[in-house]
Amino acid sequence: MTRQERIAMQKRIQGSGGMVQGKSAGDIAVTCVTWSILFLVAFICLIPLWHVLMASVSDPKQIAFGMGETYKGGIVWWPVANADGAWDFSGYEYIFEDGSIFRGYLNTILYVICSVSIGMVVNITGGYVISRNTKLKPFLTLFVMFTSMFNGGLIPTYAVVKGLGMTDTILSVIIPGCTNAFFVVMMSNAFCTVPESTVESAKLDGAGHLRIMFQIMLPQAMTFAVVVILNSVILQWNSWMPASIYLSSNFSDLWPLQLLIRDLSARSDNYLAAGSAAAWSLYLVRYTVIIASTLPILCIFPFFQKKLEKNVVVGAVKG
Amino acid sequence: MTDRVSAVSSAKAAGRTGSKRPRSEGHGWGKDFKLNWILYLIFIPCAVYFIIFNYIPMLGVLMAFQDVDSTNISLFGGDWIGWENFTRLFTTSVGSNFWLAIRNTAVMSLLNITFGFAAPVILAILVSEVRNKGFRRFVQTVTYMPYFVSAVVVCQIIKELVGDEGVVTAICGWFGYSEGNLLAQADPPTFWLIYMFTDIWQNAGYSSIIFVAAIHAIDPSLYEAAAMDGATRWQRTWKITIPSILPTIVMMFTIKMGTMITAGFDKVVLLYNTGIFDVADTIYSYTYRLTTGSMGSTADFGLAAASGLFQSVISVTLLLSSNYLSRWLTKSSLF
Repeated sequence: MTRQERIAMQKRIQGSGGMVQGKSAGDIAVTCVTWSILFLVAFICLIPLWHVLMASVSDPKQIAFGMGETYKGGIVWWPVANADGAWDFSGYEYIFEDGSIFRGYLNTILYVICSVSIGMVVNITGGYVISRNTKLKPFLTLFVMFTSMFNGGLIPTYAVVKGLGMTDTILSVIIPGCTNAFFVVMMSNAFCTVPESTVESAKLDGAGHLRIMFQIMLPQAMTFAVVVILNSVILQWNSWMPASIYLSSNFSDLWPLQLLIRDLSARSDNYLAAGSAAAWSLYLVRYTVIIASTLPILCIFPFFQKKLEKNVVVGAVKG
Repeated sequence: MTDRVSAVSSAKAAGRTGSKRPRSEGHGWGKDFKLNWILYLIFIPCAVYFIIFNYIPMLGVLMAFQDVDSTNISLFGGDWIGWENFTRLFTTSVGSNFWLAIRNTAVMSLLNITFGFAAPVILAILVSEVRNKGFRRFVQTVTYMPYFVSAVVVCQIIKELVGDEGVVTAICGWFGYSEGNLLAQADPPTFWLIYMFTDIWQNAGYSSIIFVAAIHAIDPSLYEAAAMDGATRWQRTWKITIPSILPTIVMMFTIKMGTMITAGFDKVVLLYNTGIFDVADTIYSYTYRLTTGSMGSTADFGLAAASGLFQSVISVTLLLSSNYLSRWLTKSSLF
């Protein structure tokens, strides 16, 4: 889409309000209903996180029993103070002293960086070759796309990863899940959007395939490449299943953040089941671990959100 | 989750390349190879990746017909035992019954593809009815937010909310249903609803982006003409918006149908517990449980290989039929 087209569409979208908007009683009723439903939806989206945030600094005894002197059950709108009238930060102290959450962060960041980089090498080289006009093109496209239709399942994949000696090493988290057929095909489509004339003139100037791929085409296909990168970053950041299958509990210092969250919460659950009166701070860990692992993401997500949204829209309009 | 978005773009793009797929004509294989051998060399990393991690495991489905050693697994190492793994799969009970797992998968997939699919469409229509830019922005930001929270955390939050002292449990109590932990009940199967709401909560906002975009692309003069002719807002939505975004709806629906028995079921593994296997266990979680030997089951690779193959066969059938449906309805398809 050219710049002019985009501006024209923007104007159309903005303009669409003016004329259509009536002022009859029915219209006002519709507006009221729409707004209240959306307020409710927004409320439902926000309130679980707010509840967890407030509970994480509340008095653990009252929260655990669902009631107490100041807490009468239901949503924790505001931190429930303990007997001394203070908020309880011991849950946060516990996880910071424990330290495993920092290791989880470091592991996850390392895995995301390595896995997305390796994945992008596969995506870019594979996508470039598929987008070129060769005799093997239909075969290569099928070769990649077929893997998205049929897969061997957990056990055969596990057998392969184990056969390669990757289990219980960081390679098992980084390499097997670094890309998939959709990402390669998306990259190939990104290359297809670059005008053929650019490539031809570069060829005439004596540029080789590598130079064409990285210096001529990739900068022009960047909009799509960013979508692929963002999608794989989100996929890797949230991934927990490969790690839970390939890394045994003896190697818990290799665990990514998501597995550690599960582990810390389970510790918190077991504490309650055991009924010991030792450290109530451990009860709060179930809340604090959620906040400590999620708050950083929620702080940076508005920046990602705009990018992703724009790209989905651009992709849709282009199609 | 992200697969779906990428699938959208690639579905779009596949349609594009499909229509103008260029072919090299006029020279033979030898000349093609001489001209393009560097390209084929560049393809090697991609080929190696897909062969090792996708094609070799595909051959590995034969393990479902072998006696697989659960302590020392190897591809192609076991003795052939025919259909014995499948006979065991359908007759023995390993924590739960495989037939029940099939039923649960079917029920949860159906809930997901009906309510779970309708939610983002309705949300998109509501959002685009709002003319106030600030409020629209606010609703969109807030509804996308859960998408960026990882599945592990989402399930942890849900467990908190529906636990013994959870908020949702308390609210159910006000309406006269006070049975304690909602995740511990097999009858009525509250797990199905919890799973459905979890999925909607996490994905509805993000999935609605594509529909909002489709609604924005509608020519506003249609609405103006309808307004001139005295159509109410309800009529305009029903007669203009929905028919205009129908192609997008159909496309997204077929994509969702194709992936419905695998997508999102990792949340089942994170949510369920041994007490409610009868209503919560799905083919996916069954396979996972027998692969890792978690949740009180011991690892049984033979059974896991059999149920994994069973799942792959169903999922490829669904994918092909949804693809056929999409080609028939919208003249464009994934493959």
